[in-house]
Amino acid sequence: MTNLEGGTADVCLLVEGTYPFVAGGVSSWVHDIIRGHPELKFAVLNVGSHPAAYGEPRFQLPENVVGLHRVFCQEAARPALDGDQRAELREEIRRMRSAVDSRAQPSRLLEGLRRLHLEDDPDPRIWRGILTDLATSDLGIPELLYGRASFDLLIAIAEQIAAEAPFLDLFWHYRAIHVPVLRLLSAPVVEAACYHAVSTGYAGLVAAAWSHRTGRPLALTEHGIYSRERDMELARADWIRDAAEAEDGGFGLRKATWAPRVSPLRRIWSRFFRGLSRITYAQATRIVTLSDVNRKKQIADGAPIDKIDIVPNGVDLPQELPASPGGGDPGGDNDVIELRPPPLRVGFVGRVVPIKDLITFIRACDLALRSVELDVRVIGPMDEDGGYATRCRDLVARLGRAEQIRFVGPMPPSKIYPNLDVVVLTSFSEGQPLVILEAYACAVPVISTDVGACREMIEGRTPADRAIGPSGFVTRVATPSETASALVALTRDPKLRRRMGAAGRKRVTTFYQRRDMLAAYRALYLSMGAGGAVAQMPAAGATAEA
Amino acid sequence: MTLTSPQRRLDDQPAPGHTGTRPIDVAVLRARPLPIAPWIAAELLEVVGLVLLIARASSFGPVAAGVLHLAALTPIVLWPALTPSERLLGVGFAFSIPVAGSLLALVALGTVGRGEVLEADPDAMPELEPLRAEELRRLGEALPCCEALLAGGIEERRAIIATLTRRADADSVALLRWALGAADPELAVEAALALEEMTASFETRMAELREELASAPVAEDAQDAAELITDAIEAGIAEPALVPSLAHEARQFFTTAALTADPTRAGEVAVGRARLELAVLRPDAALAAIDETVDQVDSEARSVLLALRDEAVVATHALPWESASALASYHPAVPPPLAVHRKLSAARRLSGIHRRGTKGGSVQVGVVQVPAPASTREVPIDKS
Repeated sequence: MTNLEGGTADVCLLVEGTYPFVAGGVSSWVHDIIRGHPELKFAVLNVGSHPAAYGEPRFQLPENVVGLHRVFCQEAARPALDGDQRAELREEIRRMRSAVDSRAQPSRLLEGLRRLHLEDDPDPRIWRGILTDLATSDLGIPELLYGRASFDLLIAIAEQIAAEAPFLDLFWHYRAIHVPVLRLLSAPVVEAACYHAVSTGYAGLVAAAWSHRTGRPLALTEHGIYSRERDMELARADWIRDAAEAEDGGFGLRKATWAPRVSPLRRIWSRFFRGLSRITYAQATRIVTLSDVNRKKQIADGAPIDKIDIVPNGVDLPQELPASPGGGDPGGDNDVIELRPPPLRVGFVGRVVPIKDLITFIRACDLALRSVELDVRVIGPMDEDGGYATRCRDLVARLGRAEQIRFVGPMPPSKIYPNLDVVVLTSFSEGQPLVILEAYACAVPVISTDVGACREMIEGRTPADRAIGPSGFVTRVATPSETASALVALTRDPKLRRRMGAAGRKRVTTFYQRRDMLAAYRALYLSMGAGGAVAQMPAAGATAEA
Repeated sequence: MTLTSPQRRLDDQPAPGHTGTRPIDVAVLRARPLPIAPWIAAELLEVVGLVLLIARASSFGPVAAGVLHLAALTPIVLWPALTPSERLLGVGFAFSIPVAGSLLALVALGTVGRGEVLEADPDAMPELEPLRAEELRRLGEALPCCEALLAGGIEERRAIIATLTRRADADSVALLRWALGAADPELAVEAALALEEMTASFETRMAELREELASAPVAEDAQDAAELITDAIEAGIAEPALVPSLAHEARQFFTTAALTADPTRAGEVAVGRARLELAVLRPDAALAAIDETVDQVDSEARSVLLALRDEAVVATHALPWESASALASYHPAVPPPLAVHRKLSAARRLSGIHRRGTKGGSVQVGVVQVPAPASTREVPIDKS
């Protein structure tokens, strides 16, 4: 824990694994929120997986951050034990086993965990009750690991929702699920006027527990929908062994059964994460989402509809527009098109990681290059997943496109968009990508997969927004032919490119300005009692824009 | 345990030129009575030795007991009615377990149904375990996979996608690609992630094999690498634009495997090569590869090769050209109808291959037409 300045924060931001240690959209957003409210004092709680998972901070903390705190779901890996240490550990475990069952009253936290797993009613009152039990934090880790009551809960889970799971596997998953919960719930509370969780999940659980204990309000902002993102990870997690996997093999008939069974262990994890989301939704005073798509998902997952506000991301508009992608006035409607000489400058802006599906982007460019001339640049850090970056480079080399598709590394936005004619996103998952807004600000049209809020950012969310017209193309995920078709269309039709770029510029001007976003959050913080004197001051973003 | 198809084994004769060891006919062997005289003789000698040892009549007692213990092996070794394996087992028991060993050997040899030399006919289909009631219920209630993907619950959908990912054959890949176009974006994303996972897995494995082969070209690795590429092309996992170069690479691996492998594995290499050429729509090359080797391989590989040859012959007529080998090889009066299920499925069943995936084609978005990737699927097949 690092207390940078001391004093009570106005807002405690709780993030899971991101700011300030990991670069990316959410981290940039948090940084922007903090910088955009210099009149408020912020504390940041980073919930991490384990101490060795993160390196040095990737962001320089702004002056108004008064504390950076860290808690971890798992403790640091212990070195291997020698013979004497093993004997001591065995003795310690024996002592704990004899001591844990001496409780006079049953643990409320354990009861909360039982309900967390076995309740399926989305009623927020139920989940507030579960939070009340969990927030007591009256269960130690030894009692969870070795206590009779804890084992009884394991049996109940096995019988009621995981009858098909191998018991030994369930035993270890039970521990893996609950030890982090106990560690996080026992973390000391960071004092703040209000709490702001940037996701549900573990960060949301801590925020909800602290809000419950202190009586301070809680705001929740979800960029992606946490429980659904975890579900997607769980579906592919190879650390969960399915019964079906054990049965499959060779040409066994079970493998061919067209009625695959649902993995009980994956289901338990999925219900657990959904439960964490419901707890956070129930405790939150306000829930902020970025798009209508996500709002609907939150409601489906149990978020009370009357708590949800949509506050889209925002960007600053550049004072001067770069030369129009197609030449001429980007905002105007004249039909005189000054053709830029080919090739079309295509940019992929983002981290080179699997979730961005750069492979599809490369394949799309390769396809389009058979018909038109392109100058393709991959702009973004490549060090997060070295193996994937190598795979992408290899693919470019094997396709013989090394001259047309270049990896240029990270660059500041001011140098990116003025030199691009079109921005392409082929991600498997997005919230509301800043890349699209930054491209719009420079009147650059966008081709994006239909994920997160991308469709409404390109085609419009409200009737007024849709009236502006499309500012790019929406394609299916992992379908390079559609992305290639859109690239060819934009290359061959500069008028279309100009029209779409102008629509993007108008869209971002009307609906996605940074000052509007900051004003919305400022109002939110004020409504939650943060910064008593702040009400009299204009927000920094508003000042800058004014 | 019951031996499978003993009648067949009695009737079968080794193929001409078959040089392998003739299998022991367990059924015939078991039909004869097991001689018990050698065991009784051995046991008597052991008992006498034991008595001498216990009685301590003279100082030579232990030596005499030892000599009698060794002598007890003699009737087992010399008895003509015992087979070599029975002798070996009996001697082993009698020598290592004094007094009781010969009796234990008798019990072991007299027990029918355990430790058979041939427990099952490897050619026979394994007896399938009957479905359990719960599985039958799921089969009865479950929607077809594609409908369940669209209409099933989220957990059911994920289970299906996980199953398709594990199968990773052409049908599964085709179904996942179909799911990319689903109205539900989450389903499309999950299908896309599954496809990406398969592709990444193929590329990772391929990179490992390339590295291993670069350091030491071993026949098994070359064969594995070539078959991995073939599987990926057949399933539609390989990057379409790279199919020609991958096929070239696989041909080189097959050549390495053919040169360095044990000659008895020539059949494996030939089958793999033929599958590859068929996968990349080069039936003429498949025919050439098959014709080169079909007379030099064992009967099992020959039957697979002949089935693949039938497929190749049909495929030559499905293509918009006729290569020299196609013209030279097979000219039926009327080309076989291609709309029906082709005969190749027999060959594929034998070689453990699945049917190929969907065809490609150009893509129309708006007014712009983009050529389809240079895949194995873009050759139009006349199904009239």
